[in-house]
Amino acid sequence: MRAHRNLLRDGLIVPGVFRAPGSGMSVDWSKYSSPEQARLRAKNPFDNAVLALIAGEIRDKVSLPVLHKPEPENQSHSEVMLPENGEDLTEVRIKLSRIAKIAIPLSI
Amino acid sequence: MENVKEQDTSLIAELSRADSSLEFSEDVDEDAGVFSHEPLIRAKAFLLAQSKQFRKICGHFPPAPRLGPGPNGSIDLYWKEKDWELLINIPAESGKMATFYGDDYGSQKIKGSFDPSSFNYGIVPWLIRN
Repeated sequence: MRAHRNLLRDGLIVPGVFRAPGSGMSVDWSKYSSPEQARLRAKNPFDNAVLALIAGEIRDKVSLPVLHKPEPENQSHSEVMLPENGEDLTEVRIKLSRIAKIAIPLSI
Repeated sequence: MENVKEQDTSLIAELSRADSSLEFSEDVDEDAGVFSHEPLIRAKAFLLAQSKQFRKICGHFPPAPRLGPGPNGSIDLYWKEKDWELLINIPAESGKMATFYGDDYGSQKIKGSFDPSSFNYGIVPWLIRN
C-alpha cells in the first residue's frame, strides 16, 4: 500500500497511514503488482512510500478481513476491511503500524 | 535548587510543527492526509490542558506525542515509547468522543473513549511509565 509523505514521521510508520474513505482500505496484492507499480499508480508517485503487509498477519494478528477486489485497470486491487467503531479503529491502526514494513522508502 | 521547567518545550515544539504543516495543507493530492484547522485547535487545547494538569500531579511534564492527520479529518496524538505505545484520536466533529488505545506490547492494555474537552485521568498512569 502507498503512504503519502505527509503521513510518515521521521521514517516511522505511524497509525495515521491506515485510513479508508469508506470501510475498505485500498491495498495492492503483490501477486499481481510490484511495489514500484503500486507507487506509480499514485497521483504524485514520488510523494509516496510503499508499505508491505502480509495478508495472513493482518488476519491473524489484527483480526481484519482482507478481500481481493480487482478493478478493470488494476487486477491487484484489494481491501483491508477496517472497523467502523472508533475505539476498534484506533486499536487496529496501532496494530497495523506494527506489522507494516517499508518496501519503498520516500524519495529525498 | 533544581531549575524547574516552566514550559512544556517538547510539546510546544510539536504543536508548532503541526501549525507549520497546516499552512501547506491546501495544495495536496487525495492520498495526502492533511491537518484540519478546527480539530487541530481542539487537539492542542486538550494537550496543553493535559500537560499542565499532569505537571501538577506528577511534578514534571508528560512525554510529548507526535501529532498527525488521522482518518476523516481527525487528529492523531501518538506516543511510541520503548515499553509502551498509545494512540489518542481527536475526532473531526466537535462534541464527539475521542478514542484511545494503548498497550505495553504485551498483556496490559487500555482502550476507550473520553470527552477531549476535559482532563483525562485514565491515561495518566500510561504517560508516567516513561
